Amino acid sequence: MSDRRCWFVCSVFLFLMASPAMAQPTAETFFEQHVRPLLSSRCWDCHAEDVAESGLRMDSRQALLVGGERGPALKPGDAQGSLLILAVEHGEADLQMPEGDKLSSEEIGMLKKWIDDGAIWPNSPDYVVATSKDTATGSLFTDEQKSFWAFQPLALPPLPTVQNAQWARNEIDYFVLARLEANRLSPAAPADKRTLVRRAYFDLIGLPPSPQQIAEFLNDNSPDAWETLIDNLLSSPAYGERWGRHWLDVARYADSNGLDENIAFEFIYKYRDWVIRAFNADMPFNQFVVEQLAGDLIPQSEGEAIEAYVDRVIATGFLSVGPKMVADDDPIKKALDVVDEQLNTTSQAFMGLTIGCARCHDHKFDPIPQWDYYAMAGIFRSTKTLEHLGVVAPIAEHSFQLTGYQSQLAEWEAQRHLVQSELDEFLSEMNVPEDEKKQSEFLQHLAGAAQERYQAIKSRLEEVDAQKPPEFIVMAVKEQEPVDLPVMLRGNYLTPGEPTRRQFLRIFTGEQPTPLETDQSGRLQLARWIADDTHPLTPRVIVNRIWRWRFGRGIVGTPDNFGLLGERPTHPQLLNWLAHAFVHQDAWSMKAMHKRMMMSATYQMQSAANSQAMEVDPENRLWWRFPQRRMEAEVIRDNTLAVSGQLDRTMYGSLMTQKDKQYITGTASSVSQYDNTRRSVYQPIYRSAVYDLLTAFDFPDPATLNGDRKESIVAPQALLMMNSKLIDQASQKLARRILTEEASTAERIDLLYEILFARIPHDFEQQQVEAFLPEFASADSTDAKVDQQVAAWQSVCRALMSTHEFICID
Amino acid sequence: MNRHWHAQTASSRREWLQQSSAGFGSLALAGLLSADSPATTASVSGEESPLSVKSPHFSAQAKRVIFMFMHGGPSQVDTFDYKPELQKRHGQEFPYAKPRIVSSETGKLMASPFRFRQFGQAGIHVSEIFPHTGQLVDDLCIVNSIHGSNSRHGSALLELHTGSDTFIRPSMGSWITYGLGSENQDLPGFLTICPTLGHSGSNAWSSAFLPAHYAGTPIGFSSIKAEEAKIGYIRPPHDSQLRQRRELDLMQTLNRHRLEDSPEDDRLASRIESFELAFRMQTSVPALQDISQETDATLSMYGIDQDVTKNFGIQCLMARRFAEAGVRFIQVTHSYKWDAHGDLANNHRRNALEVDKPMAGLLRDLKQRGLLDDTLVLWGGEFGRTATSQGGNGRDHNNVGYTMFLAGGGVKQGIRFGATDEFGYFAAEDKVHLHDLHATMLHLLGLDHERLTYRFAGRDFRLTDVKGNVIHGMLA
Repeated sequence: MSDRRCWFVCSVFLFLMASPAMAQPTAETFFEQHVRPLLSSRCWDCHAEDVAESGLRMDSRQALLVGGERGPALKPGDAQGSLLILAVEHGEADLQMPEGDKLSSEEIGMLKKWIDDGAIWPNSPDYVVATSKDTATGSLFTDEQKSFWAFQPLALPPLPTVQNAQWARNEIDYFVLARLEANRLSPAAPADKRTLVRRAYFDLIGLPPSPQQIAEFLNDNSPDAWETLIDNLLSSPAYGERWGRHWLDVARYADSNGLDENIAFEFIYKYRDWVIRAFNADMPFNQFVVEQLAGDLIPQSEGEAIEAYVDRVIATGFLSVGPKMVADDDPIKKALDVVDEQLNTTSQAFMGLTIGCARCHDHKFDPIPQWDYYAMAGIFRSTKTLEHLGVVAPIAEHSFQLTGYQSQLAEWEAQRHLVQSELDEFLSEMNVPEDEKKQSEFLQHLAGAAQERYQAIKSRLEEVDAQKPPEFIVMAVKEQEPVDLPVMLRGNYLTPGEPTRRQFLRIFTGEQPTPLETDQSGRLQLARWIADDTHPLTPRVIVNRIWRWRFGRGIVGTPDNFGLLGERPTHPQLLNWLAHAFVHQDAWSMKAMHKRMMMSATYQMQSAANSQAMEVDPENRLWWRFPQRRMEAEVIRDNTLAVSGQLDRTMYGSLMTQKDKQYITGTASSVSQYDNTRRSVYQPIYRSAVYDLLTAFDFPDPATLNGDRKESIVAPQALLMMNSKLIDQASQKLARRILTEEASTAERIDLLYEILFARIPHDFEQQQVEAFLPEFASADSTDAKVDQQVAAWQSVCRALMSTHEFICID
Repeated sequence: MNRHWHAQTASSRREWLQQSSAGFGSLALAGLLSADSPATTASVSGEESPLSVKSPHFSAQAKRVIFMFMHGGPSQVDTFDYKPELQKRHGQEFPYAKPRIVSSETGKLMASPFRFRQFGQAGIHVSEIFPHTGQLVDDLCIVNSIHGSNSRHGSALLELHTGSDTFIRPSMGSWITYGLGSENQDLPGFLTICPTLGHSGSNAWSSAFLPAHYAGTPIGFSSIKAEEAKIGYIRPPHDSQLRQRRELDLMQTLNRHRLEDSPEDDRLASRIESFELAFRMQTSVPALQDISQETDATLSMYGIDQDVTKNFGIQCLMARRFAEAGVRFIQVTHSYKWDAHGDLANNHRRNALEVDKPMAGLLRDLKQRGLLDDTLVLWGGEFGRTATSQGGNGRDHNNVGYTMFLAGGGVKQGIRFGATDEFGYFAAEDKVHLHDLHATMLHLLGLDHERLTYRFAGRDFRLTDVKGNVIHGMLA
């Protein structure tokens, strides 16, 4: 992950410094002829101005004397005592420099001679390592870093003044309109009701409105018809399935490990279901954060059902579900890789920060010192994710006895007792010897009816044993012995540096370390810090994610990166206003945020382009129209099943056939396990072998967090529409559905357009479809004719389902 | 250094779409009905697509890559890294420290059960189990000093394919297709024939964060016979194709009608095009997979006339046909069979028998067609095997020194580059890390591995991350 090297620095230095003093056959000449070229070609790539690996610069004598994290590199007059020589001689297993080929013994000899002769460096510049510390103020971070926009506390910005205030329906519109007006653009006209109803359905629940639902909205002439529609959709259980899936992209959710050993996670679906339920229940987002990071550390309160606590444990599946090198031979590296994955996902998911970069060195762009990385990493290292660190390490699981379990167990035990006593009775009846060995021999030689009776009892016993009520298994993290980690130089645990204490990022908490006061891992404290009302990033990041999932592009265009290398917000004050309202007016309610956004005039614009705006802002960054979007893969599949009347709306549970830890092989080549009509969110997600229907339409790699899916247009998508069983069956079912209606061809076409596009066909479209259908409408009703008719309508359905419009939201 | 080839001229494509408003149908249908429709019709709008041919950073000999991947890890000391000292000291202790991390306890030095013979003018020793490839040794650049970072199958396989043994990254085939585009707009730029699904699965050919156009397209999987392997959702030509064409015509008519209403809708225009490409692919891909027109001599050269070599032979022949047709990166996989923890002699003898003749056939065929000059061939596994024995007659994984070979495409011929220690355990001279191999391959294709970057989540990524050196000693 690290940019360890600057690729330009070497040649620049060569150019600037190749001006040796030729005349003197002295130590100076020796340096220029033998030492400088060596340093510049073999050392400065990693140890100079731009990149000072391990805090060491080697482009000045002073810098060598000061040294890096391992201390001074140079002792003039004492080559053998200089760290530089130890490194180039590979004197220590983990200090072998430079990278690549070892220096020749001749070269090492030159270096030694130079040091022994006093390490003369003519006109050496006085560079020393520029750490992230601002040397002038003694501060860890520069003023520029501290004043970075995303790190500023949330404040409620005033609404900008606009000329066309009557356009605005709520605060959002003021911010949008102000920028449009500043660019001499005007917002697009409001979309018609048919467009809006289709847009709202796909947006909030990911399913199409039925003709009846369309009619309901069209016929509702009350002024709050739109609001009613939004409220209804937000209370549909399908809302959690739709928006929970968005979150699962961020949680890099999958039902198998992927990476080296692709083992099944049989129980992780409970986390997926927890997410869906949390969205449906409108769990406040701050609570949603805390439970995913540390739900297990909030104990069961007095009078609280065990299920409530178990749910919180399930929530921490967020930390467990990442991909892991479970077969890595190096146990310590394996544990630290898991920590790295969790730390990186956590910080990006909630704070939009790429902390992972600081594993090997101070973050190059954001104010995250390597020390802070290890301070936070200690929290996750104190958390148990893998049961042990052996090869093919099992992921930690919990086992619970839910309410009623004890009575179920007692009932089962009673049942078993009955059969067991019958067996005991039989054995004593038969005078079976007590000794085990003799017993089995005796029983084998039972004959006739006795043997039959014995077998019958035995098989009943086996039956009962198989019915023992199982405990409730949850894949989730646990606590373990709390530890603090040292900084690991170059990310290598074999080269420990300064010790750290578990704590949070100092750019936010202040520069004086305030170690956690806890005898636990510190996860709960971390979670509460991230979810605090005053955290500058968390509310901004989630509000931006919601905006991104709704409008196709975030106010910050890089929803997973709010750092220096991320994009700046197009509407910073709008983002601030939304984040502030989210925390202080809506109490972190995502449903309230949806409503805010959808009630705006900005959301209700039509998506048609106008050529003037296209010239000024072709990417629609200023939101002069509603952006047309292609549906996500899941929505395409669900929509296809829904319009053809096949969608099975059963919620929750697992469709996976593999047992826990079973290897996933060859799933991508076999679609049999996807041969069901449940919503896509319930289809198993196997890492390294994702359902091809999903990958074809840009389902992101579930090994990495991704809050910004792509929308590609490639030929395999067309092949899928042309030849997949999904479309074949759906078009046939839809054709049959259309044909059951007592209606004229024209009416049937109308109905098709209503079902597929929520609109009335244009004359041109009517004509084209009608012309496509050959003369089937004869009175003849032989089977052959019916089949032909179905085939013709199926072709029409397939053609319409293959159009761009079918998979787009206008 | 992200090149913005998406900034294309939408208008020219639209013009073309409008000009052909008579219907793609009539055009494509004509092609469909003519007996000798060319398999590779140039796409009218090809120069605008993300897959259109792009200039390399500098001129170079290699235009494409064929990678013969030996999943499981063939042993270097039993194939292309002849170690007389190992033969002499069979049964003795390995005198050096072993790697800090090893998969399992390994025993004493184990001589190769195979004899080695010198081949070619170069006089390079090759194991007796590769007699056909041995004869071509003067064409090979055998790199004996490859090393990687990880000794587990999954991690090592990812590192070989993507440069990272830890994270999900784009495959090298994706990077190369991203850098150079594809020479044939009717075919994917990156094909992988019968890949294995274990040990990282589709991540070995995924484009990760690169656009989907650059993802590898699998043809079948290792569990499917090569002759039955197909690209997903490609339906071979048959009667119902006429019906399909009619459906497409209706669909495209409706799409174009919408386009008239919103002529600036670039994505709709691309969607229209994608269906036409899909329709052409449906003809072109099966045609390329059809080897029935190849001569008996060719089939026999690849060993397709013999059961033991048939499967890999068909894969290799398909690779040549796709290479000829302009596919940028083609991988063939000999499925996960080389992992000889025990009974190495029989394991390697059998596996070599399956691949040797097809490998040599492919090299010979490329050569006689003049394709070897601009095709870079790579052969090898995700790691090699220990010089010491595991369980008496097997060898464990070894990532610290092993062998791959390259041929064609501007590499030095008839050489062994780099070397392991006298037992063949550690890479010792002119070490070539996988990052270096990647850097060198990109260089041979005219791409500077430090300039071939893609910006994702606020950072420029490279195939070689922040590492890798072009190994000039391997270049002709």
